[in-house]
Amino acid sequence: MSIWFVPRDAAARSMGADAVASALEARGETVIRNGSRGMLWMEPLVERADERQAPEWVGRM
Amino acid sequence: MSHARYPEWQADTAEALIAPIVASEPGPVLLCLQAVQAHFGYVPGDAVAMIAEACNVSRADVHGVFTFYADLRDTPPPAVPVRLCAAEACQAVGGRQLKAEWAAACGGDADLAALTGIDEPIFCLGNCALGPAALVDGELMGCADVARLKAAVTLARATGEGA
Repeated sequence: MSIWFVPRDAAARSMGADAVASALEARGETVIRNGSRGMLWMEPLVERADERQAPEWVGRM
Repeated sequence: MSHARYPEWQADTAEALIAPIVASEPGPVLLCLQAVQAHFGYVPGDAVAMIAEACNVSRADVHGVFTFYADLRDTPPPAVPVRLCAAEACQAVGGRQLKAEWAAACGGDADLAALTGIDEPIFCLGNCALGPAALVDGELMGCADVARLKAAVTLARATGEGA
């Protein structure tokens, strides 16, 4: 089971972070809305964490 | 034109909006104008006279405040207002070209033009890292292009009709 961190600041939302978050939630994933990491050119930048792996980042979803 | 989101102008409602502001605020003119615009979407001429009377200032004073702020308007807003950032950072990444392309798109599509109104430039939405920035129905958009703007307009229209 993964936890997805999807930013909720204005820059991320301007690139569709809300749609990404609702799509993940629709698939039954756990979504936490956090602040962005400042890499705004990669928004919506999403971080995925699970029990075994190191965090993983996926940009421009 | 009836508007999905804003009620028709009604003097009684406006008076009820203004009265508590006048009673509690030391400089109520701008707050009254903002309250009227937030409720009705614009500030009709009748409201200027009403606010002047309620605040015990001249109509010219209220008119001066009203015309100073570009975001206050005296006509009903378009159904889905689209505003493109015209500030320096967005110009540097193609804001002027986007403005021209958007004008061409609206010029070739009367429905789109009527829905989104005249593009009133806006100066810096603070989304400079993701320029050109736009405001579609109050929602911020980064890396705007004509296709994304059109998609956002369609979505906003569908949401507005559903509400």
